[in-house]
Amino acid sequence: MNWKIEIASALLVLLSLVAAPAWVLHVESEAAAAHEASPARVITLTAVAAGGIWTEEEVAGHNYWRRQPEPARTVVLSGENVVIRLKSADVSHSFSIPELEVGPVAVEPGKVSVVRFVAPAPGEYLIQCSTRCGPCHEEMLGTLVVLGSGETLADYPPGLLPPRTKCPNHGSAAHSEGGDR
Amino acid sequence: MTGKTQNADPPNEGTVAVGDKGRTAQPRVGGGSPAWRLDLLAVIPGLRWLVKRRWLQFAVVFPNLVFFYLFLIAGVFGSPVGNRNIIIIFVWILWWFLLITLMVPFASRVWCTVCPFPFFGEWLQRGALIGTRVGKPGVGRNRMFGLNLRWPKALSNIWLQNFGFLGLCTFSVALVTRPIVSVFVLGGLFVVATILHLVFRQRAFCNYVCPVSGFLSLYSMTSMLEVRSKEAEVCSKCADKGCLAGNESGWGCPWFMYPSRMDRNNYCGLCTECLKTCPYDNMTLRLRPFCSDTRIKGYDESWKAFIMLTLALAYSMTLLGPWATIKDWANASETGQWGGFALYAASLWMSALCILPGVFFGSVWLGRLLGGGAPKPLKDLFLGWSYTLVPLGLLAWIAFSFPLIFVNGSYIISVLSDPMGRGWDLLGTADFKWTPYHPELLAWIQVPLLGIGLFFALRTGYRFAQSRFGSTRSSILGFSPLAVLLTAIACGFLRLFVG
Ligand code: SF4
Ligand code: SF4
Ligand code: SF4
Ligand SMILES: [Cu+2]
Repeated sequence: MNWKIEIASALLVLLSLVAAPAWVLHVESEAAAAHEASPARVITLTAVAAGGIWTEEEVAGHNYWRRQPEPARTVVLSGENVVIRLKSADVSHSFSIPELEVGPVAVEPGKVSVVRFVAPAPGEYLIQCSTRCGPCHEEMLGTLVVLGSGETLADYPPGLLPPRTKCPNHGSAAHSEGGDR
Repeated sequence: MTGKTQNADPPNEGTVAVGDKGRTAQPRVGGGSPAWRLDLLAVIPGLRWLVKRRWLQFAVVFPNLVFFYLFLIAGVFGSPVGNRNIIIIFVWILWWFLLITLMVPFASRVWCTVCPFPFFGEWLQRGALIGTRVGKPGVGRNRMFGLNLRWPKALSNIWLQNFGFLGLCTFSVALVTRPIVSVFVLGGLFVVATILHLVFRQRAFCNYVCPVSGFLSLYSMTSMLEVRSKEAEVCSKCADKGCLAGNESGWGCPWFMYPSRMDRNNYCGLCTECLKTCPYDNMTLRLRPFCSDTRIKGYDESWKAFIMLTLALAYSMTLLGPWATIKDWANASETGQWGGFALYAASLWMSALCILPGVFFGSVWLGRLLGGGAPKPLKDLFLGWSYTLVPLGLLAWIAFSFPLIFVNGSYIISVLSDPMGRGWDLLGTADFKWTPYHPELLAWIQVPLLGIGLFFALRTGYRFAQSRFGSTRSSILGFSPLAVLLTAIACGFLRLFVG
């Protein structure tokens, strides 16, 4: 046996086991950075049709099937530049915040759609989906909370907006935070 | 070694005597044109040099290993949407398509040459990625690590693979729509292969456990590529037997074959070791006619043929057929119709394991009656004729796989640029859209493919009948019930494909 060749090829194998995930992380961070326009708050929201929600949580292969993510209550500061990166964990959705005249923007699985706007006056605003994505499409859960100066999320207790009750999949999630399928 | 290799049954066809260079004519039992062989090492410049390189297998497995590693990463951290994730598109669409339409019919088990699943196990077992070792303890003359136990005799067949594959295929919809399920299955193959390599000797995992292996072994019988010894004379005088026992130039056949006596493709993983170990260059790689190995050696192999044909039918019905209900049942993990799923699974297992074999047995039994003459052992007829399902099944699978690639072609291109479905665009093809294809063209591909399958099924079936019944009249009579069954199955596929 030629030990030099053995060791070199073994090193090659071990190196590739580290290099592959490193490369993935690198490409992902570049893709995310491309959407940043400083100074801005960058938020990623993922639409999940099965549970009828928008969520700030990462929805990937490993957790999609395990649990229902929390519906988003995305917090920004009034006057801030906001960039929202939109993803879908399943089917085609579309994103809009009607009161702010943001969107609608198509959100496709495997793609990232981007909306940019300046956070308006303080308040809680409904995020909506206007594509038939599933039984809950009209009432996909998710809100944008815009804080005025000196305010915190405590100033916006849950329940400011009317409860959304039409969706059979929401279960307890419509009323409390999160909840299982 | 195991019982699989040396079997004294006379072969159906004259494929034992082998010629040396170039095309060689061989007599064939039961008439027909003499079978030809083309020694690829003799005619392709540089090929002999290449297959003798010790680094060859590492050089092809390593890139594949990196790809599968990335697929697993994509499955875990990428989009949960199946057709946006490379693990689904590349493994279940592209890999499957290449495997069944190109590799198996034209290059035998070449997938096993490049397959990454046994990589870590074999590395640990050999203590080498490229080099070889001689000495004790080990297997044959090779020094090997691990327990090197012999695989249990009772499991030295492909029944485990039959049930494993049928089991996996029952959940095929989850497998091809949910990346995480593929991660568990493919990752599981790595883990189980590694463990079994440490406990059992050589490629016990591949030969007896790997669920992919079963249909590779069965359908590679049709393949136009084979590894065989050249001159029996040389082997009988050979004292080295490196192809079996290993030597300084390479490992003894990891697949438990005695390469020098090998007369079927089934359990040769094309690892090229015997091409390296034979001191007389008496092993070679040859091109040959389609469907050259025709001998089914046991019920495990027959049942593999039944299972594969049934699965091809079931998939054609669920994926291409108009029955939405069956689709929903098969797709229980999305639709939640578990009752329907149980019905679907039960009928799948029943058809594959009982109904099709039963109908097949009926036609063999009837054929024996009609053929007349001295009573013939049913087992011999059953096994011999069950080979007819091999070309028919393979070509039905190929015909079935074309629409898959047509429909999902655009995903293959777009997923190349965005393998994890995270909005990347590595090559600028992330938004690639397939130009609308013409479904009527597909039939022009599928119908001839089915025709080829039926032709080879009928031809090999009739030749086998001739070898058993003798006269043309009783061969035709004896084969007729089965011929009707085969034609009916082909017509069933035709209806599903053409509508
Ligand atoms: S038998 Fe299975 S694990 Fe072994 S090399 Fe072939 S495909 Fe890979
Ligand atoms: S080592 Fe070569 S010559 Fe010897 S038995 Fe094997 S194939 Fe034949
Ligand atoms: S050693 Fe030869 S016969 Fe054995 S698996 Fe490898 S190529 Fe096939
Ligand atoms: Cu939606």
